Amino acid sequence: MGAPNAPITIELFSDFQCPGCKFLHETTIKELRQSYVSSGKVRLVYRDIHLPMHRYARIAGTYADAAEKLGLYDTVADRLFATQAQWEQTGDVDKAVSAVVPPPQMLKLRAMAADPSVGRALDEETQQALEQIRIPGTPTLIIHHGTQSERIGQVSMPILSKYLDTLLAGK
Amino acid sequence: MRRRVILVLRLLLGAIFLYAAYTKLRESYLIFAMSIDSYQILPPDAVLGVARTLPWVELAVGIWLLAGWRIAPAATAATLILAVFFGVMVFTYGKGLQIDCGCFGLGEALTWKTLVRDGSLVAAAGALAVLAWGPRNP
Repeated sequence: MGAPNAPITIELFSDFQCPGCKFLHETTIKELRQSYVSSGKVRLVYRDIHLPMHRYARIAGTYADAAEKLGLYDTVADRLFATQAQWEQTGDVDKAVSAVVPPPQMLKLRAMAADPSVGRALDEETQQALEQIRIPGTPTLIIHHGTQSERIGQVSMPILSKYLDTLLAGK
Repeated sequence: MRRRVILVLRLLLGAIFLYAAYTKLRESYLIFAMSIDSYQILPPDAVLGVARTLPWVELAVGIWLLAGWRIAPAATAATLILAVFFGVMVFTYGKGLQIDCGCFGLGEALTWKTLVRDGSLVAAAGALAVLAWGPRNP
């Protein structure tokens, strides 16, 4: 999300069932979207992966990726993280998502999420993140600016914004 | 024998401290700040303060150890610094956070292997301090 020609691109490797990812999403990422993504300074690329110990992260990822195709990614991702404590007990991701998506769109979303190609794409992204990019865990942010790229983990907005402002100022 | 062990340990630890300082000072202090911040222990102002000063402290301790001047307090300082790092890492690892260690710049995950390595460094620095404070001619 964000301007394709933004000077900074941030790839966010996140797992919907990971508590650290929930914390990052609800604090730093929320502010990042408001302050930097909406203003065109940063392009945010979500890489939804599913770690083996998180039983329902894959199905949550399929709903989020299907929602992206309907322009509802933020709504669904926000909801999945907000209700993580509930659906991670029951696996009822559908119930959590259907509370924020209007019924006609929910029908489409459900069908898209059930498409095996969506799950396969998530599996490939996960494999690539763990085996090729070798992220240390979730959440991981990779900040790209020109030829420079830095990978970081959990970070608070005051520290991240200082770094982004430095990059934007060309220092 | 004791003098040789002291020499080896202080050169090893001095080189490690210098390398640790170099990996942090060669890039923006904000990159190290993000590593410190990922431990979720300090408030933002303290994170920035530590990020600005810690690499210089590591540099000073490294030079101090390599210089061989007043080895006992130098080894004690190194032990204390490494013990704090080790304690923070064990605490964070115990919390289950999957983060970058930040030990030698970015890109190294905090794992049990990093804990073993840093634990060994604490032991080495502790041994150097004990030997250096001990009687010169036992």
